Amino acid sequence: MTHPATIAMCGKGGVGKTTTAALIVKTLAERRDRRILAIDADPAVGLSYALGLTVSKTVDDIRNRLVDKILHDQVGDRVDTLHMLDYEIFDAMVEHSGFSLLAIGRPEGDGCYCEVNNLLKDIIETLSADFDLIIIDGEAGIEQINRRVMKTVDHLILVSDASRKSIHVAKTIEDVARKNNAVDYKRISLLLNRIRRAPEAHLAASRTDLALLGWLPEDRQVREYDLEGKSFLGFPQDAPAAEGIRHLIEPILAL
Amino acid sequence: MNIFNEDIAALRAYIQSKQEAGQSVRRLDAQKAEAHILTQFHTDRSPVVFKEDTWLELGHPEAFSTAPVLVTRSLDLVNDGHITLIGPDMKEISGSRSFGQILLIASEYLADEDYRKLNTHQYELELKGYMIKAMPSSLALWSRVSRKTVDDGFSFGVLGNAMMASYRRDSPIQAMEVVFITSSKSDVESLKGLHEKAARIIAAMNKMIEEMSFDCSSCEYLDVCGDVRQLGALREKLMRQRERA
Repeated sequence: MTHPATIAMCGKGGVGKTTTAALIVKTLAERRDRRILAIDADPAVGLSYALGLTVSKTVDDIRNRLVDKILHDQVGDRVDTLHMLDYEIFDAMVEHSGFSLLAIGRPEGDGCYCEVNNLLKDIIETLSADFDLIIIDGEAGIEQINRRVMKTVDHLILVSDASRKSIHVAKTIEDVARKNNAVDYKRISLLLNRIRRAPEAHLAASRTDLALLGWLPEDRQVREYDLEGKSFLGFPQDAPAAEGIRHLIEPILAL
Repeated sequence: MNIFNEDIAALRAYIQSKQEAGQSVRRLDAQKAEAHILTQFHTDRSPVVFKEDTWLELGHPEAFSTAPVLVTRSLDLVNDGHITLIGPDMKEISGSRSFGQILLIASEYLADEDYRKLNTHQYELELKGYMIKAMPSSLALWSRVSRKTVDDGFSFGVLGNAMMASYRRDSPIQAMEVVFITSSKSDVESLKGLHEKAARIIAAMNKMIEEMSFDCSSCEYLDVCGDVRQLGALREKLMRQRERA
C-alpha cells in the first residue's frame, strides 16, 4: 500500500482557512498530476460549500447509522461490517474532475463508540492509499482530526491572519499538538493569510517561532466569492489570491 | 444445504424465458478461458476505479443490483463451468447499469454455516481495473470497470473465470456456474424475490451465529426459519455447540 502525503489545515475561526484549503484543492486539481482527496473535517462542511459541492452523506451519517444498527442488534460479522462501511464511505465521496471530497460531518448522539470510530478511520486510511495527496480542512484544533479522521498527518499547516490574537491561537494549537500528542505529525508551519503588504507578513512572522510556509495577499475577489457564496472552483486564475496559492503550491508539495 | 433447489429451477426458467423472448443470452464458458488472461488481471489489492476512469459502472447504489449465491448439495443442478451472460458484454456497453450476478455452487462437503463465507467471498476478488464495493448482507454489489481494463480484454468471461478459480481455491466446491445480467433494470428487478429470500437467510444466519440468540418468540426471522428446514437444523446445531461450550 502506498502512503499519500497528508496535509491538515487548522487555525482560528475566521482567518480564511477553508477558503485557502479550497483554493489549494482547486489549484492542485487543475494540475492533474496528482490524485487529490479533500477531507472536510469541519462539522459545518465549509470546504464542501466553498467548492460548490453538494454532500448527500457524511462519514458521521454512516457512523450514526451503524451505531443505531448496533443498538438494535442488526449488524453482521466484522467482515460484513467492514464491507458495508467501505461501500458507504465510497458512496459518500463526491468525485469531481481532478479531485474527490469526503465530508466528515457532525457527530450526533452520546456515548463512546471508539471501535466504530477506529473502523471508520481505518477505512478512510485505506481509501486514502489510492490518492497521492490528502488535504484535510479541520476545525480550529487538531484533536478532532485524530479522533475522527486520521491517526497521523504528515504536515500541519496553521493558517493565521496578521493579528496578534490569530498568531497566538496558531501557537496555542501547536503547543497542544506537541504537548498532548493530539496527533502524530512530521512537520508544522505557519501560513499567513489576508496580508496587505510584505512587511506585514514579516512583522507577523517575527512574533512567533513557527516556521513560515508563506503568505497570501488580501484579495477583494475572495471576499466577493464568499459574500455571494460562489464556488471557488471558478475563482479567476489571475486574481492575487490565486497567484499567491500558485507560489505556495511548490513549497506545500515539497513539505 | 438444499434451500435454493427450487430457486435454481426458477432461474433456469428465467434464463429460458429470456432466450425465448429473443434477448441476448450467451455462454462464455470457463473451458474457453486461457490461464494467461487470468494472470494478466491478477492484483494483490482491490483497486479503486475513479469515475473519470470508469468505462462501465454496475449496480450503483441508486440502481438495483443483486448478487445471490445459490448453494445446493445436488451436483446435477449446477452445470459446472458454465458462464451465462444475459445482455451486453463489457465492451458493448458503457455508463451505469443495473446488475445481477448469480453464483450457483454445488458441493456435498459444505456445511450450512459456510453459506455466509460463500456469500462474502465474491466481493473479495482482486482484479486489476475492477473495483468492487459491496454490502454482503444486503446482496448489494457495486462495481466499476476501468476503460483501460476493458481495452486490455477484461470481460464477463474473464470475471466469471476468475470467480470460479477463486472459489475453487478457497472451498471444496464440486460444481460452479455463474450467471450475469446486464440487459435491463427490469430484468434484474424481476429477481427481487430470490434476492429477498437470500438476504433474509443471511440475516437469519447472522443473527444466529453472531448473537447466539435462540429466542424464537421475539425473532424477526421466524418466518424464514419456519420455511427453511435447514435453518432450523442450523439453530439446533448451534444451540448444542453452545451447551457443550
